[in-house]
Amino acid sequence: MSADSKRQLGDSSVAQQRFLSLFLRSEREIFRYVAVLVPNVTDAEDIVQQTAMAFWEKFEAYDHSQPFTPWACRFALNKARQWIERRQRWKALLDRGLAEELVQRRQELQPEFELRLRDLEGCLGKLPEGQRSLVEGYYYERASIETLAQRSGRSEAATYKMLQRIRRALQVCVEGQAKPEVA
Amino acid sequence: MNLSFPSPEFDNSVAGVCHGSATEAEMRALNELLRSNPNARDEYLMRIELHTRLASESGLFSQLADGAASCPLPDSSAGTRQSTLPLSPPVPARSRKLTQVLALAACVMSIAGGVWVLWFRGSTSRNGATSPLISHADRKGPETVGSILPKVVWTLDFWKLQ
Repeated sequence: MSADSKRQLGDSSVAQQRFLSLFLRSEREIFRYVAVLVPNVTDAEDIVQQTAMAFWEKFEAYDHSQPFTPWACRFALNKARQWIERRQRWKALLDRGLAEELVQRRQELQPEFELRLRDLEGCLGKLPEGQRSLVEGYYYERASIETLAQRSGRSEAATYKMLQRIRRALQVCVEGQAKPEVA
Repeated sequence: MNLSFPSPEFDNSVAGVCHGSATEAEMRALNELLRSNPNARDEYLMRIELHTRLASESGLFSQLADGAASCPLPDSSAGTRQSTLPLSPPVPARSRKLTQVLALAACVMSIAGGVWVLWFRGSTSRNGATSPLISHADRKGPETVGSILPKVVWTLDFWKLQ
């Protein structure tokens, strides 16, 4: 192997480590940014992964004096748009300027969201065990609805509905209106 | 299909969007509503924010995280969406994927480091290598082992990003 080839591999490794370090630090925010447009977790994760690939290919162009996250979010937005363009249902949700409006409005509401959601962990802790277990299974373990339905002995439709109710209860709780109680 | 706000239909449509199960008609109706009703739009964003925080902040599930620190056995019957086991408690599922790549890279580096030590000792204290790998390293010299590493790490990550 020539000295040039070895140097290129070494440079590539350093760049890659730098990229991974930056991307991992920003990944959560990139995910949330994408999820404003595509809230389904699995789909949003796919888009984040595609963003990582596209970003890595263009990483040489990144100006390291600039903040990484906004740059990565722009990549993510482009990837999300491409993803949405190929899916009629999501186009129906986001067309006629709604995608841009949601991204913009979310930015404006961010401080309020921080305030309203600061006690989310406390509210999760107040959930009855069965409900908390369902939320953990869905969001933390990423268990499928089918699996969660089998575990709880409910139908899949009832499991979806229960998750919906739990989220609503959590929202009421974080907004300080009541302790989360789901019927 | 028309949606009003607030209404159970609005609640169901937002939940359907979160789960990826909303129909095209529901999504179109939601589009109409969110563009015309700022209160519905802000409420929609709040619900999405709560949903995505649950999905992205594993620290919220601190009790589970504490339990997971004891390295649970894999549950092969769980049928989860992921094919991999959680690596460590504080890392959300998304980050776990990238973290696994880093962990693999670290393993490769550790193994290569061991090979390096063996090669170095072999080259100073032994006349012949006993394992084919060490023998290969002996023939090629230290730069061969060292130069393989970035390529292996890069390949692992590239594979991951696929």
